[in-house]
Amino acid sequence: MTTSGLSVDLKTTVNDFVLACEFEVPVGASLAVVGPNGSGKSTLLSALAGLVDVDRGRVVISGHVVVDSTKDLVVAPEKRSVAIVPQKSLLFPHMTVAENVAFGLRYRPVEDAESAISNVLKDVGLDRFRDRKPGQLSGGQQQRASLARALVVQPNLLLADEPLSNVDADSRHSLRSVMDQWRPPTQTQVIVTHGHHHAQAADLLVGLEAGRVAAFGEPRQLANDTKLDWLRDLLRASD
Amino acid sequence: MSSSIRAVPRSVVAVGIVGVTVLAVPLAAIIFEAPWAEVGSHLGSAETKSAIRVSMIVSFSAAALSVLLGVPLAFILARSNIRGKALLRTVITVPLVLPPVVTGVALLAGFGRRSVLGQLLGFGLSNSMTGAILAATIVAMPFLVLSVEGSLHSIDPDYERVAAAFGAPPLARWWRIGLPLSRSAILAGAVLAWARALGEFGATITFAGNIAGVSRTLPLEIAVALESDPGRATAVSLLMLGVSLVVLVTLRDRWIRR
Repeated sequence: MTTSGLSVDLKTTVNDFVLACEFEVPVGASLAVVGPNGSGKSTLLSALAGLVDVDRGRVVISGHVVVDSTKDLVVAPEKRSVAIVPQKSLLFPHMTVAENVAFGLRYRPVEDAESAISNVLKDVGLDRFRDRKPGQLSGGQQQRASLARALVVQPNLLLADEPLSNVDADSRHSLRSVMDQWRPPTQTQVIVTHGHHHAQAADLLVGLEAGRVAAFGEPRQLANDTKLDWLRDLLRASD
Repeated sequence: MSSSIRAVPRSVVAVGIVGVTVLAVPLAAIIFEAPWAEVGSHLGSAETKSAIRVSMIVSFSAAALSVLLGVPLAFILARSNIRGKALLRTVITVPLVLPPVVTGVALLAGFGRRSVLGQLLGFGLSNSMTGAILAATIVAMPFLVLSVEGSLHSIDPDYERVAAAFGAPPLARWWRIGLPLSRSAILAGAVLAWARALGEFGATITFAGNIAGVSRTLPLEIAVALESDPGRATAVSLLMLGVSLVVLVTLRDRWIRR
């Protein structure tokens, strides 16, 4: 029996948009979230992080129940073992790159935080930029810093919203291996993506359409089975 | 865009010229009418020095209190979903539109010697420097609250949400993210509140009285001097005009350059 890394059964409404989905991901697995614009991918991440209210349902992260509407239970975002790579980076503009990366470690301490920060910055290629403010970075560099801020925490659940969309194609491959390298065996990853690499490499994939689960399964199998044209195209694409 | 199209009709420009003249003539008159040779001795007189001292203590205390009490209010107005927010905003904004003398009467009713609180404590805050500070704070704080609230609406609340996702509890999110991001707005609001406190007259004279060295601030000193020594009144007015111009220059990036 595999332990559940993430168990989701929820319904949430954000500005009249309704997201209702149900799926389960084993601990240590990666889940790619794909779907057309406005299908609810980012809303799903926000709901898992606790940044939007859930109407009803149950969410369990690595054995910890964080939402259970039958018991009126909602765990505050700061008490969930998650870290997030938001779509628009959202680095704290008044802090340096290193301070941004250190932010989460203050609340979820690790041994030798200083060298963890140096190492993750080196791995994402920003060691020379550690004292810069986000405003002095390019879009791609901001995304690397945002990724580093989340990776260094080594959370049970990593939520990433198109984490490499602004990074040049050559660097994507190496950054994907950085994401694997910083991933503890118990970490479950949920990655919203439009790219075929993350979609095909993930252990599991959920395809959303208009706030519903339109496809769920292993990417390789879905590539053959799915009746959704856009999903088949994505899963059969190559460089 | 080319300037060949007249964006503002001539008649509107003409009215505008009348408007700016009405505003500028009195200001220019102070400068021309000022007894320049005696300005130095007027400003150096014991009465003026005492009023400057009172005004500095009162206005800076009021600005500090406005920041201390007003910044949390601005965050509540901009970020929370509490019920009765419209009522809260009304209470905070009332001193902006209320005649200051009415604010003074209200202060007497609330904190004066004969108020319920005053009788309970055995003393009131009227006719004291504390009273002058309270009066100035009440009229000044709305400027700070509205200025900071306005700027908070332009700061993406997602920064604070992301901080939550990284484990920061509510107070830390406020202290480490919300507050530093609104620092320049708080500074601008504080300068504005300070300038309003410095000019406060009606509520001060009604509640705190007109006691030299205690509650006689610069505006009150001008009113007193107008009766006995108009030259000194003009000299002190010049001083306050100068201070106002410095405030405007300090904040020009926020208001003038648009």
